[in-house]
Amino acid sequence: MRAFTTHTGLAAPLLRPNIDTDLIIPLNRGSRGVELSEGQMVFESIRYLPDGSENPEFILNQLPYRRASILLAGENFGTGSSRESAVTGLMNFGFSAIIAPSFGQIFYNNCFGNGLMPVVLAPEQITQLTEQVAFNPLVAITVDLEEMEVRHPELRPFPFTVEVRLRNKMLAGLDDIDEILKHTEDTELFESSDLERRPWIYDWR
Amino acid sequence: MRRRSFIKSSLVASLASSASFLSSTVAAQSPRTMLEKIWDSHVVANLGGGTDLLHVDLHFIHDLHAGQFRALQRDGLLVRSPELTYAVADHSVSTLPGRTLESSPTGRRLAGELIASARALDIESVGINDAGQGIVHMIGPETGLTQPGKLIVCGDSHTCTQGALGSMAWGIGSTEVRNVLITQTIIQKRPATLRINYIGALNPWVTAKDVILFTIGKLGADAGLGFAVEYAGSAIRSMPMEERLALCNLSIEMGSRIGMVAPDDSTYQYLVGKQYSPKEQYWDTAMAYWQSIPSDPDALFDREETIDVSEIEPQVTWGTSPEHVVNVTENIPLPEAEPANQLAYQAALDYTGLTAGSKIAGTPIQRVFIGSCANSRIGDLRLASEVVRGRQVANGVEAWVVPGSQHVKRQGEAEGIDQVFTAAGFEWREPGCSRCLAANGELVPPGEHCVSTSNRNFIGRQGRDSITHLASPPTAAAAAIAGRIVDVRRLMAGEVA
Repeated sequence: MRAFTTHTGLAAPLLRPNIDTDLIIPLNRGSRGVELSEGQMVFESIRYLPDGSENPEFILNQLPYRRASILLAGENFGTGSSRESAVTGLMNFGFSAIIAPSFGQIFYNNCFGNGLMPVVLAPEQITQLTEQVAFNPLVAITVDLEEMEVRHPELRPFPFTVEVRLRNKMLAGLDDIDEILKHTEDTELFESSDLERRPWIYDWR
Repeated sequence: MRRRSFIKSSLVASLASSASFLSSTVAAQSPRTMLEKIWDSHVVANLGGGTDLLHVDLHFIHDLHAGQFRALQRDGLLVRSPELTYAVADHSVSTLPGRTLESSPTGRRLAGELIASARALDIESVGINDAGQGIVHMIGPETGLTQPGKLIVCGDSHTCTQGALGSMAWGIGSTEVRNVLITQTIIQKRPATLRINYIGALNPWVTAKDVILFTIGKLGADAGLGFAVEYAGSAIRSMPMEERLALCNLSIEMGSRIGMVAPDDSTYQYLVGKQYSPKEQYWDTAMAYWQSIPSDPDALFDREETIDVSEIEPQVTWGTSPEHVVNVTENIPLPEAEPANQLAYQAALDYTGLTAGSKIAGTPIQRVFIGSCANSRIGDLRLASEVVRGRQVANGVEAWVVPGSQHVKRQGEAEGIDQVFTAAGFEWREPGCSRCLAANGELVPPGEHCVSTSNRNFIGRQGRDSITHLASPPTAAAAAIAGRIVDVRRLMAGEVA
């Protein structure tokens, strides 16, 4: 998994609440007749016109936002389906971090499995960042997981919190499997006593 | 109830150790919620910060994750516990009557691969036309695999459905699917607990689907973020299992990955005689374990809500989130009247093409879909069939019934329900996820309105530029007859032309 330590890049705002993973990426990537990359399919239903050309009204089709690597989002970003392609698609598009007041939980977990950094900030802070971006979209924002803050040259740094375990995982680029495999013996111990306590879990076929 | 069977000495020892397990983990502790009891008893290792490594009792895997087996093989890895894994082909399969694996190219590839891999690995599975095939969250309960106290995961967010039987069940992503296949464990942060107490009695033609839609409308689509929900109260106790399953299905639409109903006599009765319910020799011990699971009377929840179900009327969504819902008698909200939601409401209305402030009833519709893991059980179909009996689907409406499983389909046919639907002009189709998310290509065309008994009305969910109105089976059936969104109670009273 790709590690995330600190990232500086342009930001784009897509602030509507409850952006669901169906909107982030459709299941069927071949729906346009030719199989597109995950990055090309991100926000497909609002990014392209029916004839397949880019929708000029969609912010991520506009310069400089199409170069954004940080997304400023609304509450409950990534709600809905568990599809992990929502995360990998956003990364394939070019995003390294998403900043939102809250995230769908499955999506949030999936982020830490792939190296896309989800940052929780208060709505007022995201509003301030959005205002700065609107004023000058060419000023880059920094998401720093080591210092645990988001920085913009014109604003005071915004600290954010992340669980210790998740932070360590992201900084080192570790997969859960690395941690789980340290507990193989614990798993075996659990199962041998569980087999006696609840044999019907294991003996049902 | 099964009778106590002849007890051998080894079983006595097993019972004794079970009893001591139950007492050591239950009676000796301070009051615990059901979530805490099940969670605690599945901890393999404590990882600090409220995060644990948990043992997975049952891992369901469906056809959209067929590639995981291939990936494991490529990496030289084994599935750790084939005996705790169950494979179901549902998302990509065609639901065309008489379908085979060949009916959908995606279905052939994914479902075919899933079942072939499962068989090679000695994992129990149901293939496309096996007698037990259906949507994965139908199969768990129908087979008796879903049981109180089991920790169940699946790469599908509606795994929360299975909590209706008092299991602790949630949806996971692809990486987690892989890790469970390799280790039979999962790392998870313990959620906070939310109990919703439902009091009062349901009015005629108001179903569990209406109750949960109303709840999401009232509390919000993000109310359950960070919480596991327990649905409690007299109104829940009165609900048959099928209604509890429908209720739990939409937990994730409120932001909660986990939604549960405490087991009771309804649950135990439901499990009697199912294919994979605990075997005779284990039944009594399993029952004792199940009976220890409900929340202790003085257990504390992080948050509690109370809802009076007698106030609930048939619900319909008007927008692009399950929280965009009103009574069928109400008006679509005015964005300006809800400043906090104004932009979101306006965007939703721009997409669905509905008029703010107008009545939701009367909205013309072109498709009706009665199906999905939310509402495709025999009870749902029976209720919907009462609405269509002797009536005709309106001109210009395509109406489908997609039974959730082969079992439901057969039962429906035995009861003649299929003929009630087909006589009215519905298509009676094969089991699968179908039009809920159109992963099999069964789309709603652009610009068309579909009243759907599924659980998501997101932009483009049922097809690019399609508009979904979530509703209960009777409300969906009424819409098919009327050709527009209507109050099923008025239709049944003869008040709708």
